[in-house]
Parts: sequence; C-alpha cells; structure tokens
Amino acid sequence: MIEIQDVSYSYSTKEGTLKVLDHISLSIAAGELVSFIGPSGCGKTTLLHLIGALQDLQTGSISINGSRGHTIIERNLYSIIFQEITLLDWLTVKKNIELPVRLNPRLKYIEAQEIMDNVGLRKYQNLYPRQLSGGMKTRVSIARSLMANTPILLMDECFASLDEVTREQMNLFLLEILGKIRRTLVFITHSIAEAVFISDRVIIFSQKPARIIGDVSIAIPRPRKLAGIENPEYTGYRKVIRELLNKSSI
Amino acid sequence: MICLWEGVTRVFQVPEYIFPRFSALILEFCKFPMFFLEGFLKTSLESCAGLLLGALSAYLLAVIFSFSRVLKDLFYQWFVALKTVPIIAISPMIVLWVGSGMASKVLMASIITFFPILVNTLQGFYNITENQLNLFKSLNATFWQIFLRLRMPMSLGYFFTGLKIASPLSAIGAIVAEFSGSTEGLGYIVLKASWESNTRALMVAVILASGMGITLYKIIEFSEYAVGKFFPQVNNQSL
Repeated sequence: MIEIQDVSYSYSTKEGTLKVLDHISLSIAAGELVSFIGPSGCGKTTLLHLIGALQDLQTGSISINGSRGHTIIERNLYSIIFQEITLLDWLTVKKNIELPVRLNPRLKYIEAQEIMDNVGLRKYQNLYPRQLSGGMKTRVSIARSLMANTPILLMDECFASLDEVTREQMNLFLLEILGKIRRTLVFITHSIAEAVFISDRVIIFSQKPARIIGDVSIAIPRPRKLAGIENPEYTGYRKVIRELLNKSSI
Repeated sequence: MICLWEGVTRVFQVPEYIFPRFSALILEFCKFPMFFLEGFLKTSLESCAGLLLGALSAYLLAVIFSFSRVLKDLFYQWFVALKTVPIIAISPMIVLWVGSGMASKVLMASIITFFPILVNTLQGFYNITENQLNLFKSLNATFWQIFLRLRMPMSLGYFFTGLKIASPLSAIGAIVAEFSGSTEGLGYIVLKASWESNTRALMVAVILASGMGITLYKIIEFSEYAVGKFFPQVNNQSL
C-alpha cells in the first residue's frame, strides 16, 4: 500500500523557486493498477521519484507498506522503469535482466529463465541491447523489474517512444504479465486511451504546481481487449478525463 | 605512394639534400642497419614505457576526479596548464631533474600522453545518464557497485579513444626528450643527421618514427578490439 500525505515539492532555479507539486495526498491499495496523467512538466515524474525515494521529500510523507525514505529502497519494495531505456550496453539481455540479483545476491528473485519465458525473451537472451528493437528493449526493462520480485512497479512513460501499434502490443503484454505476476502499478502516461485501457484508477494532475484534480475509477472488467477500445465504456471514461485535463489547462 | 615518390624525384631530378629518393633511403638504412634499428628499439621502448606510465597515471587521476568534483575543480586546470607548455621547453629541465638516461625520455612521453587520456577517461566516467544512476540507486547499489558496474564499463570506450590519440604522441615525447642530451635513439639520429646535413639519415629516422607511431596505434586498436569482445560498447563508443 502506498500512502502519500500532503506532499509538496519545489526546485530551485536561476529564476527562483519553481513549485511542481502542491499538497498531493493519495492512497494506492496493494494490487491496484493506477495511472498518473497530466500536462507535460507538471510534476508526475518528480512524484514518482519521491515515491521511489530517489529524491528526498521536502514536505509531507510517503510510505510504502509502512516503510519510509531510504528504507523503501533497502527493503526492495519497488522496481522502476524509465522512459529512457536504461539497459547496460555491455551486458546481454539475460545479464541485464539479472542485474538486480547481481547487485543484491540475497534478493528473493524469480529465476531469469522463468521471467524470459513469461515475456518471450528466451531466444534473445544472448543478444546485446544494440541488437534489439525499441519494443524488445522495453520488454527487457520490464523483465528486469519483474525479476526483482518487488511488490510495486513504477513506470514512467515507458511506451512513449514506441509507434502506436507496438505501444498497443506493449499495453496488452503488460496487462498479460500483470495478470500472471500480480503487482501494484503506478504508470505515468500522456495517453488518455492507454491510461483507461490499463488502469483500475486514473489520477489526473493539473498544470504545475500539480494538484490532483480528478481520481477516476475505471470499472471495465478484465481481461480487457483492444478490440473494445472504441466501445462507449472506454470512450466515456476518456471523455471525462479529457474534460478534466482541458479544464486544468484553462 | 613509394613508386610516385621515386618517380617524381627521379623525373624532376630533385636534389638529394632537399628530398632524397626512396631508394636512397633504403641504401642509407642498409649502410648502417644496426645503428637505425637500435635507435628504433630504444625509442620504441621509451615510447611504450611512457605511454604505459601516462595511461596508468591518467586513469588513476580520472578515477580520483570522478569521486571528487572539488579535487577536480582544484587541480584540473594545472594539467591544462601543463599541456599548454611547449614540450621542447620543458625537456631540458626534465633532463636536469632526472638525468639524461631513459627516465627522462619515459617521463617526457608520459607527460605528453597524460592529458588526452585523462580528458577522455574522465568524460567516460561522467557520461552516465541520470536515469542509469537512478536505476542503480533504486536497486540499492553501493558506491563501489555504481563505480565498478556502471562508471568503469562506461568509461572503457573513452579510455581507448584517449589511448589512440596518445599513442603517436608518446613517440613524439620520447624523440623530443632525446634531443636534450641523448647519445642513442631516433631523436639522437635526427639531431646528428641535421648537424651533418645528412637528409637521407634524417628521413630514415622520420620514417622509422612514423612506423613506430603507427605500430603503437595498431596495438591499441587491436587491444580495443579484444576488449570489445567482452565489453561491446567499447567499439561503439570509441573513434
């Protein structure tokens, strides 16, 4: 369970202080798939980094299963996947996936072979990142995060650089994997359609300093199919979210 | 190229003291083969030793600077200053300090090779993205794990680029050092040939020096290729 209480955050710039988060409070239950959506630069990535204790809190508190601060990292409570592919060029696919265990041999992890079978990477295991397509690299990043066997997955616009077809395939792939290996997901996206398709809840942020201006529960049954993405149940949610985003940009 | 050289000098009857024919250089070499070969070997040894010393000290300093921006900001400019001092001006001083033996030549070669290796290797240590660093932090990596598993592999390609730039320079360093009080080596041969207005011997020495520089470069290139078998990013990153 992720608890965010009254978190605000500012950056110091040459022009002065830039506030990006304004009194954010939010709870995410175990196993929930939650998307963060909002205008570019509104502070979503900052919030993700604060959840992952990659930046220090300035005000408020964030806890994951009762742990705070660097303890969140020490207790291996999350895995993070960045928008920019962060595979290491000198390691094969298999060794990239095994990176969490190489750094922490005492980690309770899922076997690399099992993960590679689940994500369809076994036949690519001896290739290097430069030999992979963008979609394959994203799969490797996801596989690495799953191997670490953490309860929470943080994903920061991981599919943003992919073409639409590959992106849809990755959305399906992610849901399929999360169906097998259940995790709590916090997923940043700019795509309203993607947010509605993947999530149980969509949190909508305003322009910076970001406030939560909407928390939409997506009551579409699973498994979700791409074929139904233009059905009224999807389009209805997309309309609500779009209206909230439009209001915030006025 | 050789045929063109021979042809042009013969056809235009270029005076030997200005630009000898290639065949004349072969004859000159064959007159005193051991003299030239011993000089070549001596300078090669000095160059290699100087390159090794320069590379090791530059790499070590790059490691230290990568740990501490404060130290880097304090001392880096001094190495820039050292680089801008004309090497021929400091050569006599180095001979004065460490003697006219091999040490002065090795030291000169290491001084001249030091800076490009330092600059490139340090760039390699710095050339990790914020997200790569955040990935390692999120995996609870220690300082040494970040250094050994991220910074060091990332710096390898840049290190080899520095080495390739420095390898021909090491020959220059050794030869320039031989100008100041040496009785053997290619630098000595160049000086002696200049005093005697012996253009043929001078050019033989120059060609041997070029050959040495090319050989060193090729050795580095081969080493880079070999290391690239284990660290593929090396071949992608370097020149």
